[in-house]
Amino acid sequence: MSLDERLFTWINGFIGESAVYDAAVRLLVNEYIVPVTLSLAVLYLWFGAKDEVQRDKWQSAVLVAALAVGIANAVVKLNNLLYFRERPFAGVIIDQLFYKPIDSSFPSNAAALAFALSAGVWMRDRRVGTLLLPFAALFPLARVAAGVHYPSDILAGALVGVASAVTASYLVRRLAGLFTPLVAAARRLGVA
Amino acid sequence: MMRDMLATITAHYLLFTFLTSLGLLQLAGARSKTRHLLLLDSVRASAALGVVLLIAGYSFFLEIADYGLPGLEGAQLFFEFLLTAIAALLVCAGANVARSGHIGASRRALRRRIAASVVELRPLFARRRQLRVEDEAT
Repeated sequence: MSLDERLFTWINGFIGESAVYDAAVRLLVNEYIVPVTLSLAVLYLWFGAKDEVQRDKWQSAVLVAALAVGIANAVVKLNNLLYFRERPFAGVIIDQLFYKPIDSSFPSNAAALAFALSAGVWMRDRRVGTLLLPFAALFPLARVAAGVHYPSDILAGALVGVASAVTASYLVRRLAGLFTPLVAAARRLGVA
Repeated sequence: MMRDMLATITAHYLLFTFLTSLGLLQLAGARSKTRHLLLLDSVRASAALGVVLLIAGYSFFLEIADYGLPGLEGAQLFFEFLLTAIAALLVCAGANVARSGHIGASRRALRRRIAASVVELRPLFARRRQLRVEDEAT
């Protein structure tokens, strides 16, 4: 058994030990709760700044995060066309807490998107980004616990997410001539 | 059967994201003092309403929805979230117009805002024009 599989078996082994733990994993593992909460955080950043300096910083963070999510999604989709890895439930005997997805296990899409978004925010606002990162990490970790991903899928997904955020941050800076008028127009319209 | 399940989770998800987006806009509007985002006159009351809407949205979804079953795809989830966030924004704007009671004045204000935002977009087109002129010159 590889280190990846051993680590997976250990993390997945906690399922069924405690009803509270199982409920927490069920809550975090689905496609709705964590992604919506992260999206709401981004919506708050877009509209909730107290002053002009914070508004510039937060809206720039939202642009970076949104672009990073787009890049991460494209990278994962492209990878899935070229490479397929079976999900853990196909090869290892596990305790499954979630339905069985049929797409490639590697890299974790959940990790890529959650890390792209939170690292994207972190690139512009360290304090808010630091608040989002642990929350974003819980999402893919719950997927390992629930038997949907191997730990290496999560690691690769997180790397894709962070690399996407760095790329997005660079692009937003480079394309300031495009983004600045768009944000200014949105502000005039009252939607930013 | 599968289609019914998908329709149900979609409806639950839309209501969940709409309630939470509306609640969050109240909190954000209260913090940034953006009056046109607030559903109520009082900033504090709007913030309290925001908290209630957020709790209501999460409670509803966690209690009612079968969120452990296969459902919507990632891109679809994102698109629907965006749609409900825009709907929540429109509700806030509509509530403001209704509260002010001056539909004509609101329409004029909207027209002014659109005109001002178009002015902000001018540098984009000016730059493109300049690039085209440079291209033609070379």
